[in-house]
Amino acid sequence: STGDGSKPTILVAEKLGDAGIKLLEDVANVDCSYNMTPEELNIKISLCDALIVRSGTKVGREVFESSHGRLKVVGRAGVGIDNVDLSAATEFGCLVVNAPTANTIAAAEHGIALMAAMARNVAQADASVKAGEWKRNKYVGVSLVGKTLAVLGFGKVGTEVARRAKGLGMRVIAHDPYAPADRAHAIGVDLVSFDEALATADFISLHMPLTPTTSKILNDETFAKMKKGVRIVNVARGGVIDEDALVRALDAGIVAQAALDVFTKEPPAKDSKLVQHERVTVTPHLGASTMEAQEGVAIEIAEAVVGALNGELAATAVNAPMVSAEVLTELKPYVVLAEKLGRLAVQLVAGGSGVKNAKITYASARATDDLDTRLLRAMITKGIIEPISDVYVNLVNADFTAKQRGLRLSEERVLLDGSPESPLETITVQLSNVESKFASSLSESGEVKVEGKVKDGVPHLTKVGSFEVDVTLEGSIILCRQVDQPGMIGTVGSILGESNVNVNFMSVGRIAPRKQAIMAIGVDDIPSKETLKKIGEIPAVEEFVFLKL
Amino acid sequence: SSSGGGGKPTILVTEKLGQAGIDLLKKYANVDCSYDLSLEELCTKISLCDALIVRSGTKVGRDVFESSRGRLKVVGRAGVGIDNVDLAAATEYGCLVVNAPTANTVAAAEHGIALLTAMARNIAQADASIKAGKWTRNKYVGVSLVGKTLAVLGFGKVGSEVARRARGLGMHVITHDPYAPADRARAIGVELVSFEVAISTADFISLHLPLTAATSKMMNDVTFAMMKKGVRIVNVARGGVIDEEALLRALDSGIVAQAALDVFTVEPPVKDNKLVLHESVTATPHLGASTMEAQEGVSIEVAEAVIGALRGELAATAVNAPMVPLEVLRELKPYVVLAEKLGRLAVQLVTGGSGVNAVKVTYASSRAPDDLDTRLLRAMVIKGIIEPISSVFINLVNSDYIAKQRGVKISEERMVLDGSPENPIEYITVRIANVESRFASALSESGEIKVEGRVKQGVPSLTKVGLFGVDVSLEGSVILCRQVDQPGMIGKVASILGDENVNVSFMSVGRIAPGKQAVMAIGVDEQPSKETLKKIGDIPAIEEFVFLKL
Repeated sequence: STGDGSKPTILVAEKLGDAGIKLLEDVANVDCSYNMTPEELNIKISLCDALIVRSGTKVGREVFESSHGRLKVVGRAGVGIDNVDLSAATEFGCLVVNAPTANTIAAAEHGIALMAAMARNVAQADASVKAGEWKRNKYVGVSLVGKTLAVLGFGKVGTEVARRAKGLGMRVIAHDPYAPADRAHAIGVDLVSFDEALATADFISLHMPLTPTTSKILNDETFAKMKKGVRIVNVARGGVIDEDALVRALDAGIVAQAALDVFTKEPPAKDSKLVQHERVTVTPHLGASTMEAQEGVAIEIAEAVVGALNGELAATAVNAPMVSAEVLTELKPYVVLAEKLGRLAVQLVAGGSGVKNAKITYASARATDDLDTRLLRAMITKGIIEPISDVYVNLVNADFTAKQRGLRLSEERVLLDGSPESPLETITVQLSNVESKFASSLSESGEVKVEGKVKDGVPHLTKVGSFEVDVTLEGSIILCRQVDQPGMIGTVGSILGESNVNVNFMSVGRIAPRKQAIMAIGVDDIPSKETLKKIGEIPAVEEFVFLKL
Repeated sequence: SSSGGGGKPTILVTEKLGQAGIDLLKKYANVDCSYDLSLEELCTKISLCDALIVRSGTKVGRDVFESSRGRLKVVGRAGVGIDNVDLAAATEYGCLVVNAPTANTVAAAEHGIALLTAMARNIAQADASIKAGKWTRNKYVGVSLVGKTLAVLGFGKVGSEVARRARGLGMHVITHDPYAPADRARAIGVELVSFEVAISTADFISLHLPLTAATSKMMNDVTFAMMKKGVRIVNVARGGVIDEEALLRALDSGIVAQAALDVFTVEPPVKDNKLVLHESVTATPHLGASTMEAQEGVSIEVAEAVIGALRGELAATAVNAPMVPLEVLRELKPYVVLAEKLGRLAVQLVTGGSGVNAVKVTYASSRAPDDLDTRLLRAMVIKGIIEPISSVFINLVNSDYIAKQRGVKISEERMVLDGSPENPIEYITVRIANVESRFASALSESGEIKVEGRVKQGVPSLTKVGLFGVDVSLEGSVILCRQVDQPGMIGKVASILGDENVNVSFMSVGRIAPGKQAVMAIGVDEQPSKETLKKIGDIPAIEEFVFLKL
């Protein structure tokens, strides 16, 4: 249908559940046109205020160009947004929203179905009976009641799985560095450390995002920490399990059974040992696949699109187009600085513990009313959260995401005397109640502390802990603490040179002559493990860390 | 295994039992674990034993009891079925038989849930597909459970546990069971409804009914037609409760969207069984009791029952009743038969579908109360009432327990007569209150089904139905007719039966007044065909009639 008048026009480019369409039709003219060519899409888009797609439509820069600024929001019915050019959307002032929660129940129920079916060999027994066999002794299962289930990752889906497992008489423990303990206790779940979860569980259900931290988090080392005969269910992300290690663990009897809905590579190879394994139950990424979930996604995306057209801030927004162009232009280098400081700070935190408290200090000569820090705070949040999560953080959803992750941000303004020519003099990020991989980054009060400035339009790191440094935040950084003595710069410089790592900046900060000093080295390339090891072996280097920006 | 003498009893375990059960036995008795015994070896060993524990692989026949020469006090069956134990011989030799019917409850309930969830998400089908090298996601879109209505048919131990877990998965649970106390269902948030409401309302149906004459093929073309289109069915109870041909038709027509079956009419099912091979059916080979924990639980349960029996405790799981002294048993034998038959008669007069809750038994006797032990009689009335509509075994030991479990309240009344105490009992009356009757004439003034009987020359006889006096022996089956009292009725009915080669063993007519209504009671040796019964019903003067199988 197509119409005009004061109602906005929404183009639905892929099939959407009827309930979603009805919701849209209540507030807008809805044009359902499927299987369009890019040319057809570009023509239609110039008449539309919103676009809804699934995964089959490529929404590239030309779509936004063709809309001539009319397109206000793109809705992605589902979670993944690989098919939408977020940069172009932001550049053209277009919001992008997705539908990440409608699948929660479906995914949780699939996790429970796999666990129950695995415990009683339902798939194996069915195949056997259909093959004409009647082997009862072979398929003796195990009971669930009274067993301990460890839910790794206590977000929406993990929480729902935990609730249902309790309903089946299981004892449930959970591990998630960001889960509020009170929320876990509210449904009778104990929050424990990762190692304790592994060592205690009879069953493990994975509900973690795939991040550098969680990639292959179940591996030979962690399997060895588990109870012999443990059973594992994964409906989250395939890459969280080292699949070769899982095959070894199954063959060794450490893992008695596994039930998998997700794989590192999808579809898996036909001759995959894991898929063919007798004690593994597999399904083809069906976690979101119920009739009810598909309908739920339609409703969720329709509501988000309608909300965006009404000027509401959507919790599911995945970009941040709402800063005016002039503000964005002036703040751009500070935005970059803010994100990099956040990213630096979180990487200095010793692995395993979560980040709960972050304090941001803005030193500025401008009056409070003349400095909008929303975007800066959002970018610091982005820098802290994105490396350890798979959510997209932006101006719109930053505060929501931080709260959801149990991350508390406080802001402080230091008013400087001087010319208000630059919007900011320094930004400081402090993370409290954490341990650090680089002790020198701790301030007097025991927080990880980093401070930065913009010099000639370029973000710089100017202080780490108590140490002054001066290095551009353009590539990555190596921080070393060493005894201040002649020749240190040359020694480190030589090692990097031999490894073809280009140094773009270097500075040394110290407290007093010939006492301890901090060397900050900006590098364009990522040094190899061997190179980093050589630096660490220099006798005068007491500690060092590599930080990827 | 160990053997020893001394004050401890000796228990022979002839099939593998879980270690926990063995450990329990050893605390109390000398335990001899001897597996794969030949019959001769078993008969030799049994003469030295006070108890025997078996599974399904050991035949415990009359020769075993004979060989024990009265020493064997209890046979424990680790599991439920007791087909391999000769109950009559056990009772005759004063040996108790106990089984282990509850240890499998959790395992069966969990299997029901595993099948329910796996069916809803096509787990077995998807697994087979990927292992065959496919990656077909659209084909295996499932359905959610949250908010759906599950009807649990049969609310005994397993049904209750399934209901509890389904509630934990966010389902709305309703149940049908004519014997389930409403307060017990309500206690776990489950609504008790009629059979018709259950099957017409459900999105999912989970069967937990025993296999009886009443429940055989209860899921059939007629009941499938009453269900919501797209209903899903799980059966971990008894295969015969579902008419399998009808289920196939229902699956193919789309009335039933999916089924998950752990039990079949014939086990193992034939190799090319269409139901097993059906794409929308998930099948498992009777695994309901098959968890490591259940197998351990069975061993503990049977060990406890055996020890209890050796200590003289009455076991709830006893399946025979050897505890009446022989002399009492001999004198009471015809009254025991009478009691059971009256119970069986009475329950068959109840209109199908409603449960029996209140039963009153009256004993008219010239003996003093202390001289008449009615325990066995009451047990047999209960047996007569419950066994036709259940799969439990009733005996002196467990009858009161079973009645309570089924919500059947039995009250007893003694009527002391003047006269010679030569006979222990003059007559027994059984009344069932709060029910409707298939034969209105069986209702007494106060609206209860009422039947009364006596023993005449050692033969149990029915002497009153409702308000009508009759006199018919309770040896075969009985046809009751109510008709207008007029000449020629007896001849007419007798001719129909004679034409069909049905032998009449007894016939009597009872009436209230000449020329008014009368009740004819006819004892028959064979079961008349439907056509024969229809002819009797077609006689104009016959206002109602019923056939009762004894």
